[in-house]
Amino acid sequence: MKFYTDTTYTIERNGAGESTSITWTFKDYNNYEIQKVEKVVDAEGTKEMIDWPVLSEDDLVATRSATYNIPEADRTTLAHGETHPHNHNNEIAFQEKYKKWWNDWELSL
Amino acid sequence: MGVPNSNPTYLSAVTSEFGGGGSMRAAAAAAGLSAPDGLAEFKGLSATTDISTTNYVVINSSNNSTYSTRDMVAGIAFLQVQLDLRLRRQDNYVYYEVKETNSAPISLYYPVGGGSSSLSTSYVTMGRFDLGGVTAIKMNWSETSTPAGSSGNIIGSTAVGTYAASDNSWQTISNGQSIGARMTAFATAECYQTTTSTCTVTMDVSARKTGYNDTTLGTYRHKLRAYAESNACF
Repeated sequence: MKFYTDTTYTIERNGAGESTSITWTFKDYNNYEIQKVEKVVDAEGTKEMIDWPVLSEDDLVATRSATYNIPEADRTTLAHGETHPHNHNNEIAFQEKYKKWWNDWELSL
Repeated sequence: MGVPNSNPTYLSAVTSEFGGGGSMRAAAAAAGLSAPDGLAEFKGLSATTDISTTNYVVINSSNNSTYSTRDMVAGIAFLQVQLDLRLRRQDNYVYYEVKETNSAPISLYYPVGGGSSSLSTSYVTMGRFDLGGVTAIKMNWSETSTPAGSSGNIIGSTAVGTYAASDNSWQTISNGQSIGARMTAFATAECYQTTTSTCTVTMDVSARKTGYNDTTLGTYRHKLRAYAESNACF
């Protein structure tokens, strides 16, 4: 028995650019393979073969979603960067917010 | 194995189960039934008893029997948390045993009396059947999805038992032999992602021996959590 959940998210923001809610999309698969996949592992561009899950859309069995309304005190205008180079401090600060949203959402279940 | 719970009921099936030398009254008395006698009264009855069992950890509830968790923070993170689950005949018992495959920072089991104790890479007995000569055993598992989902597997493994456990199938064993399965939760993260994989498996273990009812120890609940956090993007 194998199971895998691929998790993505979108963030709703107000006019000031502050995050007001986050919606996760969970795609459940009933199969995966762990294969060696080439990844860049450091800032020098070193490549290594890393164990990583590989999925087939044929094995998708369900798609679910959940929305968490972010309290004012936990909102941020920060976002995960989509392009290089990343601003490390901003990324870590956003990650801290994201982790709190996730943990508070899980605790609310 | 009991009198079939279907029509018609034959006197031969009744006396085979309860004895009585062909006398329905004698068989009825052995079954604890009062006169007047009728074959229909024997439907579904069994002369056998359950195998005696002993449990050492929390079972049959929403609480965990075991819990293991591991975190990893790296530029590219891939981590696994694994548990070995084994059902082993060692006369005069059959043991249900669990251990970590590899040591995790937090790994616990929950004794019947309350509190928690540490799991390790040595087997801990979750429960046992108090009987020798058991001829077949069974592990029956299912994964319980959380709202956030999880990533992992549970698979029969000869690295764990003499035979790889086959889900919900009776497997014949001799003294000293076992069936086993390995449970895994894993998580990956790259480019400042975080991923939490919380995997829960419920496990029923059963034993079979002629003269006894097929008996289960109960439902054990095993929870693994893997947390991956990426702190860079290359």
